[in-house]
Amino acid sequence: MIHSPHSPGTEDSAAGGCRRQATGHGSPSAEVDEQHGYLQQDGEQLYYVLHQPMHVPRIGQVLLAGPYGPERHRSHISWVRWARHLADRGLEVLRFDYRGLGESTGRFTDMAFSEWLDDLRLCARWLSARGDADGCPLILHGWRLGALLAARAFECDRVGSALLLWSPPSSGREMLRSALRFRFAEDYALNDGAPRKSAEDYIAEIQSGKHVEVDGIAWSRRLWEQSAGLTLDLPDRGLLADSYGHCDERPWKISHPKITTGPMSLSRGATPGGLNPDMGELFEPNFEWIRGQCDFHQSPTTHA
Amino acid sequence: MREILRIDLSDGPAVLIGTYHPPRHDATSKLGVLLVNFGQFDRAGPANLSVELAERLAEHGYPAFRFDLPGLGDSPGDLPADFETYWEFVEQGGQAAWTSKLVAALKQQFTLPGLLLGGLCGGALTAVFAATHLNSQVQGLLLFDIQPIRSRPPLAKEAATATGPHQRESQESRIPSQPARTQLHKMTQWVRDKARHSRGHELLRHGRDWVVCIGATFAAPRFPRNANLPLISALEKLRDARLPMLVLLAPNANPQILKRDLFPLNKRRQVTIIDIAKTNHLFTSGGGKKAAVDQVQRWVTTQFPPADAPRRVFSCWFSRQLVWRIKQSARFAMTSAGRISVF
Repeated sequence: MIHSPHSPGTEDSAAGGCRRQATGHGSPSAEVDEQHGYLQQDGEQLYYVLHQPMHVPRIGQVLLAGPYGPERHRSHISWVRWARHLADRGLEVLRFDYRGLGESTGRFTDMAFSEWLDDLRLCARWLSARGDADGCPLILHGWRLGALLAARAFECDRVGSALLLWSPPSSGREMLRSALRFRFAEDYALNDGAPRKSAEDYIAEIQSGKHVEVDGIAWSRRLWEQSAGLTLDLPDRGLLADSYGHCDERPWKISHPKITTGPMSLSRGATPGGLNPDMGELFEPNFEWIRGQCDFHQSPTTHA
Repeated sequence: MREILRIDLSDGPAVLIGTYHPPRHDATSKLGVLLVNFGQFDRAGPANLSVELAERLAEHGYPAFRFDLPGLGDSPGDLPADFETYWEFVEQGGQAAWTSKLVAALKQQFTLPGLLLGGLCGGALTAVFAATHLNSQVQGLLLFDIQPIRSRPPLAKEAATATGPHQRESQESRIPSQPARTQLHKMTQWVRDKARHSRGHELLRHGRDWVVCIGATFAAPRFPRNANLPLISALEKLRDARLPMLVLLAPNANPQILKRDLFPLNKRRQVTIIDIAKTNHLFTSGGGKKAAVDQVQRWVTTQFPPADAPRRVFSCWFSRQLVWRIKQSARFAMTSAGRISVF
């Protein structure tokens, strides 16, 4: 049976859901509900998946901001598992694709960091509107590009009650420069005998308005120019932080998972060690931190 | 406007999640296109290749579908922990049953006359295996860099007990003796090295290929020890049934097995093989993505022209007939001249 609920004109333009029996390493026998749909953003469709806990009380909300295009594809299996892992434990999780990438519509060459930041803000508003009635805390969790965007929204827009960052680059420019190395590797492997270009050559091409293909995605001048302005902005951390990192009302944490196996690996030099490896060592401590923030938010006096 | 689709497989592993790209204009009798996961990638494909392909075909009036098979992308399901187990499963056609059910469900729900089925690498394997079960429901295949060899060499026990129409043989044993082989390697290497930087390198390369081809023409197809024999059997079955197939090959993709042994010129009537140069296995470099999408669009609109464009139908039919006549004449000439086939 095929389901394609469609109600044009609403913000949530299409949504289909499924119920999944939780499986995987160490997950409880909870059942989670997953809804897929689109949010409307400047005439484009912003794809989202909402993971809702079932038969488990909701303790909070998490907005997942994922990595940049090629990194997204390599990490998708683990990212989905992380979302399900959280939903199995009582968190309502929203993940989405930036416009121009993945399932969201839009041309990549028309997009840049400002559009993706808007996407994150829209998803945060949409998710908060769902959770406000219960006073649920909203945790922002970003990974790579998502970490930069989540930190910007957390610091500048005061979005979210806590912030978790995985492997944030120092800036968008650094992230792009790192990705540009893959272009050199492709040149080395495929353009045998042809003169090779340097990073400066490619940057000059981009700045002259040409599109440069890196890992199958065409970079535009606008993307490159905006990358310099997107730096990792974090609020000052107080000196009296407790074990959960609480120093004010809005704690944050940076984690650099040293993952060298599986599709989650973002380093091409790493040897892939599995398709769907056990992520317990990464997932459990981070879940505990998130749960700590939810507990603190719901009963701050007990943690003071 | 894309739509999310959710298919409940009544006797399967619950639910499949997919995306529907409606055709841009009315397409009452047009074929649909279904793209399954490209390897272990989610249904968007590497660098959104699958998305861009579906969008392009939808622009030309073909309803396009992209689906996540169980455990991949957004579809729930279990995945093995390691790549080896997963690929073993895919290479044996483990995903074909789900794909067959998916094709049947889409065909019924959208009242399609049939579907083109496609995928890259593991997705191509799944498409081939599924097509053998579906008969007329699948009317064509889009195969991106299909690999006719297994990712893991067969165990000695498996090789000993394997039965089938094909003889397992190593590539090396095709060459008669060690001194001759050494000499050939040296000569081939010399030609390769020389050709790369010389003006007449194209001529030399083709000359080398023709020399190798003459010998291969007189020999029965033999496949290397790690050949995926069930896949080869399925491809031969589809080839003999004259199912239209587009095979896009990236460099270093064992082309000799496909071009010489599996689809020789005299058996290639409905099979189009196109090399995409200077790209990688995922078509994500050297402009490979755009080239692949262009080739697919050209092939689909030519092979399955829009029903609402009679002038284009006649034009396509005429051009197909013309090309076929030329091929026939060339084939006859080559056969008469000494049974020479070309890569």
